[in-house]
Amino acid sequence: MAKARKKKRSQPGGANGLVPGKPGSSNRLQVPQSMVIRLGAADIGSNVSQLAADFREVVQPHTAARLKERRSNRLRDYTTMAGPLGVTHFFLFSRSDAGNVHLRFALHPRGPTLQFRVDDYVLAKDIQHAQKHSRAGWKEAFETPPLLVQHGMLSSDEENAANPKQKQLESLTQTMFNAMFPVITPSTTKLEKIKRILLLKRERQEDGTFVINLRHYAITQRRTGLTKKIKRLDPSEQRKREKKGTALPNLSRLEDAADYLLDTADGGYTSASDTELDTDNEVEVVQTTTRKVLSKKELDKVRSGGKEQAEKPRTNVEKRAIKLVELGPRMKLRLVKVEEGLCEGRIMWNEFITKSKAEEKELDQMWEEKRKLKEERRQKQKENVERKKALKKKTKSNTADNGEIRASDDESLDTDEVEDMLEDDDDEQIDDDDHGEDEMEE
Amino acid sequence: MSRITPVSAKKRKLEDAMRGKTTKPRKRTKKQKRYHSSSSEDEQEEDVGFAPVNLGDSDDQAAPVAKPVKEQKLAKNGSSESTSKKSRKTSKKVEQPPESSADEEEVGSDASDQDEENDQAGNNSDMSDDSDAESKSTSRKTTKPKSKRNDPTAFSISISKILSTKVPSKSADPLLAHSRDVAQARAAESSSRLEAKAASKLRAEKIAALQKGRIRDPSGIERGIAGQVAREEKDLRRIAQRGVVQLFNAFRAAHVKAEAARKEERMKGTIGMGERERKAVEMGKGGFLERIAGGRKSTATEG
Repeated sequence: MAKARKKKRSQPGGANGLVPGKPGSSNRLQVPQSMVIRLGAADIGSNVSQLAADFREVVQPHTAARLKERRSNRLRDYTTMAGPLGVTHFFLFSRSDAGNVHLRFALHPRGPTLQFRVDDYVLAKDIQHAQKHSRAGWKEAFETPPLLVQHGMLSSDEENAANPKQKQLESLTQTMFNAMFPVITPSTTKLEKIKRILLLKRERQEDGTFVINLRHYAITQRRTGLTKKIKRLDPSEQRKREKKGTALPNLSRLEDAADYLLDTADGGYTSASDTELDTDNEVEVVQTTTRKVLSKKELDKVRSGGKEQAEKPRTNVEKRAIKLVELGPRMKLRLVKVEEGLCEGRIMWNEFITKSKAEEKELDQMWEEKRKLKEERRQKQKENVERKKALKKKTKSNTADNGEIRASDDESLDTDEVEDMLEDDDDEQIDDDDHGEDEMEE
Repeated sequence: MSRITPVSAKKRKLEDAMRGKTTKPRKRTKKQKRYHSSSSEDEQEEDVGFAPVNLGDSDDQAAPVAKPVKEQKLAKNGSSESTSKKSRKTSKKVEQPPESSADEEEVGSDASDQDEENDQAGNNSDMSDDSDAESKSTSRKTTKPKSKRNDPTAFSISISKILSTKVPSKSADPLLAHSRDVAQARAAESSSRLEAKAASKLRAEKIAALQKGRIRDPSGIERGIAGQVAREEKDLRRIAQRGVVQLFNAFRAAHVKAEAARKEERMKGTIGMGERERKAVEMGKGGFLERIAGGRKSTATEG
């Protein structure tokens, strides 16, 4: 007999619980999942495709890293799948006829959607080419979500006094970006796992446009307070070295280790560059060390041996210097539009168009009407469902009495049902979103 | 340019000329080995004047000019016959063509070419055998055609003939400027060139649209704004770095606080490891939140 096929996972992280459980299940994780989609498939051009691919790297690991878009795929396809997959965030890249690249950042299922125009962008590969030491090995950096730093998103209160809408816009943007990545807590998150940083800096513009600069860096740590020579002797530093060729220094010809450490011929400890402290990027890190698990016998021995030794506080705090290496991409995003729904619905803000009060009122009225209509349809649908349920119950009880009449009865019911289905086709579509939302809340 | 020839040479030349051995005047220009126009060797033709031809004329208009040409042809044929009769030795060769050469000009000219060659041959043969009578040679000398090479009228006649030839209108225009094919080809070429130009422009536009917004040199050296870019990038990097440092410090502080809380709980005598841990976490969390929220400018994602 043929061997049973073992299913391979198409997306990483399925095994270790990063993927949320089934919708509605209680153990569902609250990890924001995202999809980065380029709309319009290959027509969008290789540059934007690459940009989308780069952005996928940024939002790793809780994303559809190997999503394949087809020409026939519409936004609707992704949104329908988002519910079951637990996707909460959408990043949609598109290109207008004029050649402008747009990035839409939307929340699933309810929205809102922020539409940005990508004023200019630099691909990750261009950044890596420009670097003197381009390093390929950042693989483990993408295994955990990055740290998000937002700078200058909110303007001061006196600025907002004139424009109350601006404040709403700012806070909305900030909260939306904040929810992009899972929450960092000192008790659960491991510090050494944070290896990337995503920076969003709002640029102050005189003309009041909302421009955000996006940068993506890798975080590297370097021990400070040690001279280069001592670092060369440190086994942990040795392990971290990328070039394994330059191993331990050769001290065989020296009389004393001090000759090596204090050798002033090539700098020695007197070199200022070695010991100089960049205080503004220095941090203290608690070094995690493995402690030997002692047996009861050994424990007793230690306790009887010297109490003061056991009581002595262990200081394995290290000073480290933080250095950032840019990974790319860079983007300059200009907020153009905010929509209420997922790429649809009421437009809450538009950079170029400002409506007068009357127009606003009119639009509000229109949306209100739409909402009412929707409500009405929903109500109707609910009634229909209930009616059908009741009817079914009735027929069932009828069939228990005699089977012959039932056949004709059933037929008529079927046609009735079909009609209802036809009627309520679009209603159900609308209802889809609500189901999704319910799931989310659960 | 005139060259003074020595007297002896002059004399000899004269004697040669009397014997029918005329030396051709020296030619300074490039020698053209063969020049045969369609016009005959006879003097009769000299009175046919040069009919001016308008180059712009169409073929139809050229028809009246063509008429005298035919007459000339006839006259030429007659003359060639007369010459052939006079020459004894070459008569066989000469007598064959005249009727056939009457209708087509080219053939006729060929025939006349032959005539001339034959004449020359006859001349040579005369020179070789002196036994032939002098009188005959002299009589021939009078009919010997004058060289057309330096004759302007001959040239004018031939060129006028060329220009006035009637060309069947159906055939391709011999004048390239008038040719429809050439005009078409030229138009096609120019249009194709235009098309190519337009296509390349479109392509360039498309490529530009595809590349819109993309910056290829992140350092801004090629754009000439390296300093400005470097300053901006440094700024951004510093902000990011400060954010990271803040986070690390917050972590450290939370850790310390949690540690302290744990110790305190132990001192207080809270029962249960889980309970103690919970308290510690809570303490740490509070501190963490405070620390990160304290950095007003940069807000990191926090718990």
